[in-house]
Amino acid sequence: MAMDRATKIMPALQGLNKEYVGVMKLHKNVAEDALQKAVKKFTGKIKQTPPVRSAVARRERERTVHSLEILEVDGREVLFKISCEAGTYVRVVCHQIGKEIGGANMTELRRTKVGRFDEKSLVRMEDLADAYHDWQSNGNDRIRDMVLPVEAAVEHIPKIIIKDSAVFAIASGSALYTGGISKLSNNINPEELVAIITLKGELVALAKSVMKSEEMMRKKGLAAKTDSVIISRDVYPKM
Amino acid sequence: MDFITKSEDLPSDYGKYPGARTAEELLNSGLVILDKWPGPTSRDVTSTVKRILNRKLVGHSGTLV
Repeated sequence: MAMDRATKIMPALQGLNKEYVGVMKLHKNVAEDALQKAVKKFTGKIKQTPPVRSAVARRERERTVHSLEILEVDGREVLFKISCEAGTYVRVVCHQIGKEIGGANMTELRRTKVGRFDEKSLVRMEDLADAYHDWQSNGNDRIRDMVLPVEAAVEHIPKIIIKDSAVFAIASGSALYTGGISKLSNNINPEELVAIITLKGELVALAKSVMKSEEMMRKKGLAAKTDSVIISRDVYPKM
Repeated sequence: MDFITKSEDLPSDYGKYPGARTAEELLNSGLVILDKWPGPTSRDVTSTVKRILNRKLVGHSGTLV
């Protein structure tokens, strides 16, 4: 969940790899080696059509399954772990495996990882409520350990670190020009999602690059167009 | 990811290192990786979090099944 000013970072999270643990129910008894063989077919690049009830066009598309592992088999119930590209429908993967071995459907699914966020950073609702109450009633701020800074959401995307004198303009929605750049990732390509960061490491905005890294170093002009501003414009004054 | 330097700059006195944020500052622009159990929808959970943490805006990154 993202709160208040952080709600605008969602586009940065959408492209992350996901990991799930789930249960697939087989419609027939299947020998373990036949099951393993069917599962193996669905690692690497796979083609699938999004389900009827989905938010995207129902057109066949390609996704990468980084790994698909059977953890346990109990009769017709198969516990599995899958690591896959964003936009992979795991329910559909189960159905596709089923087609090879007399039918299967997914009965349970739990997301265990999004990008680098795994179960270690998980917070339970009750604990969150307790910690908030503690903080409000006696100033105990252990809630700080349950909330990640918004910057955690952009660890995986290329960054442009800007001079403090350039922050106010970007925080007001202006585009970034090369003169405002201090440091940058060496792998930026044009038309890519980039994070604009202060010298102290605060996330200023998400932007779309116009130049590649190498051009930002030696050319003058528009470097990136600001998409969504995260920092409040009163943190850094006009300098 | 490697960084290249275009110009040597030092931070001014404005702003704050993300690790030095207070609870209020974190809540104003932070993320919570919530352990959602089956049952309530992501929308239900979003509005509960919004209420218990007294926030104006809470969003979720969706569950893809």
